[in-house]
Amino acid sequence: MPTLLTLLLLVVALPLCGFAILLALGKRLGDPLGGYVGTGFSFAGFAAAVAAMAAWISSSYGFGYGVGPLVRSFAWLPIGEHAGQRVPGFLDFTIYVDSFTVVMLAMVTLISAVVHLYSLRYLRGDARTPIYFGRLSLFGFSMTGLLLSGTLLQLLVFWELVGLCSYLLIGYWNERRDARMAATKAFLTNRVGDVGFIIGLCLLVSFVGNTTLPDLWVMLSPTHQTAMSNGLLTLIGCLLFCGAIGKSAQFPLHTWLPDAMAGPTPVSALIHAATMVAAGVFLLIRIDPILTADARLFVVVIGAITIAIGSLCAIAQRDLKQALAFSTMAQLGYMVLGVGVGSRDGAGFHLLTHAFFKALLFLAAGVVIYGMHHKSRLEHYGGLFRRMPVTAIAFAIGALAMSATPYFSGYYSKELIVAHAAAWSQLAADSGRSGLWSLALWVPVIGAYLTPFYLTRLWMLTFTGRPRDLEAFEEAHEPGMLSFPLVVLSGLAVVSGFDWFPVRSMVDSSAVETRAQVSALTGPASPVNPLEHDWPSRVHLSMPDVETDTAPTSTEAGDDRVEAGAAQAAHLTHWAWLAGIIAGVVIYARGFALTERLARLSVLSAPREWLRHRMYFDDLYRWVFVGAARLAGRLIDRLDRRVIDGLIDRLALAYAALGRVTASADDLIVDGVVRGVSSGVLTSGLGVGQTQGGRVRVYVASAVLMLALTVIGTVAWAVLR
Amino acid sequence: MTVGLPHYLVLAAMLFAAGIITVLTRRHAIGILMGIELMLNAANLNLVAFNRFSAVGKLDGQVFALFVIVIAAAEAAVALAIFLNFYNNFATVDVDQGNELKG
Repeated sequence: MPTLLTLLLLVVALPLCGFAILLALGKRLGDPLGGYVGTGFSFAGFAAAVAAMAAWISSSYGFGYGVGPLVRSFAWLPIGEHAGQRVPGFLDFTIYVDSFTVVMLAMVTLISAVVHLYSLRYLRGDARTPIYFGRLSLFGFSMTGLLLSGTLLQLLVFWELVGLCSYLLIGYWNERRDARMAATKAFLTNRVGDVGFIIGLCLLVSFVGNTTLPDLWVMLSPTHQTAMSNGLLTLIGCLLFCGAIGKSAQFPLHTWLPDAMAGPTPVSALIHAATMVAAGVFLLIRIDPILTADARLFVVVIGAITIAIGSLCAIAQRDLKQALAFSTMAQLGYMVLGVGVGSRDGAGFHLLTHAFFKALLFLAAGVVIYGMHHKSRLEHYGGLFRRMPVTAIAFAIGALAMSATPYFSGYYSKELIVAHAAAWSQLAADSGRSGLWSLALWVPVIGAYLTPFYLTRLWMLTFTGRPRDLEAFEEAHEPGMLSFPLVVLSGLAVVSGFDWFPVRSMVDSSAVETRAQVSALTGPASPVNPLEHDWPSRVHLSMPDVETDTAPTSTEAGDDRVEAGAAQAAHLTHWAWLAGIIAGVVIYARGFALTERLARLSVLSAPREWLRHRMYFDDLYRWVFVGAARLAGRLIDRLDRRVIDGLIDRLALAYAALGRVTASADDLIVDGVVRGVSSGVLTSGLGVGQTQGGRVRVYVASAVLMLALTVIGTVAWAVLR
Repeated sequence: MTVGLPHYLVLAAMLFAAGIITVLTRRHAIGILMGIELMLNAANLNLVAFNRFSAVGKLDGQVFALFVIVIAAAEAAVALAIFLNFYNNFATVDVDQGNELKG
């Protein structure tokens, strides 16, 4: 146990050490050395994560693979007593580790290490690389810390750190205006979602007084919670999900993701695969047991809209990285929708496989962009297969995995989600709902056809045909140091879906462990174990207001439905990859030639413009929110100028008048007294001085006068007495 | 009409007043000295008169008057010496010119 915990803490601490060293000594270490330090620490972190995984699987204590999670709680913040606190009166500081955490740790540290290695070459010669690697290390620390968080409050802390790191890295090239703007946009857009997250957290703390995850699962599970009304729990679920909407770039807060491409490409790979956007889905998976059916419906709707927007916009983008950004958005939509329809395992599984092939795709795109002197528009590409064969093959493998081609990793994870979606919409149809509900199945299915199409489009336009930019083409090359990570990730993109590879099994085991944990907390006498459901009935739980008679009372009925759903999903999407690829190859066989001809038809050019401009969401937001903010700013400015400034001006004038009055009073009275005294003294002095004129006769006269007065006085005194 | 003490005293007072007025109005040092002599003689007149009417048979007043005359002579000598010096410094004996002690 101590070794496992030590290893886990080491996974978190090593990137932090790297960050601290680079922060302190970065300038002294300089360009290549600082990068080596960061890379060394990230590889050490990966090694620790792998060791932790081995220790986890072979653990023989009361926790471990298939047994139960590792939970360590400490009293943290004193907030007053509430029911259901581990330590009465305190919010906990908890480390919660299950198989999903362990495999996520391994994935995150691996991607992070690979990205470090890749960045060494990608950013070679940049004077600020120690700063870059320091931020990258901080990113690794934030994400691993987030994975180990056992309370939502802790999660929020690391969540914000992740947001900060993405801001710093997207804006790394801070001499570029678009990078600065994109970084600010990403940060602000995330803040919008975080507001919801924080409000949800506040509600949780005020009603339950606890944010520790296993306790929340037990207390707030929709099937037997009594702590608060169902409506309130739905609200909390939706608010917490708002955080995930921002982080995982779901509609309507998705607009930051394509802009974030302004950052260095390895950073895009890290953000899209392992860290930033994964955090949102991770949060959703963690709060899955407390989501009510209504909250799930909200999640499903958002996920489906995001899949639609992402898949459609990806088709029309002219920039390689932006197209990939939209593809990420669509895949995140799949994960979110997966959680919504009750396929938490599918979402987790897809999160992991997606990490590998999306990192692969981005790093391959990075090689292309690097080789083409930082030109990222598809117009400049074409025929690059001859120049970059390894990259082309790696990109193809990533594209095939993402297209859910059988025997590639994406196939297994996406099938799982689509099967649940099919079962969910089947259940909706059985309980007599409108056809609109079946969109939860049809949107992912259509997305599954679009995915291979747009990836094929990218591949064809980049690697085949005639070179469109001969000058750049002649100098194009692929450095070996950049190709090596591609080879590693290509292998993982293929094998990570297989049963023998510890991804699927770890995700499944985490469900078992969660159930064991909940049983341990509720005790054997508990009438309802909220998580004692297998996935068919989880689908059922995800459906709002299902009539009791249609509920699968026996697991067999549920199994049947899911098997039917899986069969339907397999039927619908099994050949999607081939159809999409064929369509892509046919349309883009001669570069842009066919699409340019098609675009002359106004029927097609209008939607193309619409998609190219990302459905005008940016313009809409600019018009509505930025415009509203500007308008409010102008109004407040006017208010400030007219009312407040006027008031202050008047006040100032009044003060000035008062000051003048005081000044004259001062001048007249105070100074007057002083001046009067001094001039009196002067006058009398001068007067007295006159008598001391040095004239003998005056002296004599005064002496005589005094004598006379004395005499007269004496005589008068004598007489009057 | 017999001449009594008041007549002497009135005469002495008038003499003294004349002396004072001389001292106060004269700017010439010698004139001032003369005024002083007048005042001294007024005093001498008083001394003699008082001796005549109140201390009959004694000569105290007369002796005093003799002393005053002697002292007046000495004083005149000193005063003339001062005037000589004054004249040396200011080329005049106008006492108003000697106002260097004014404060």
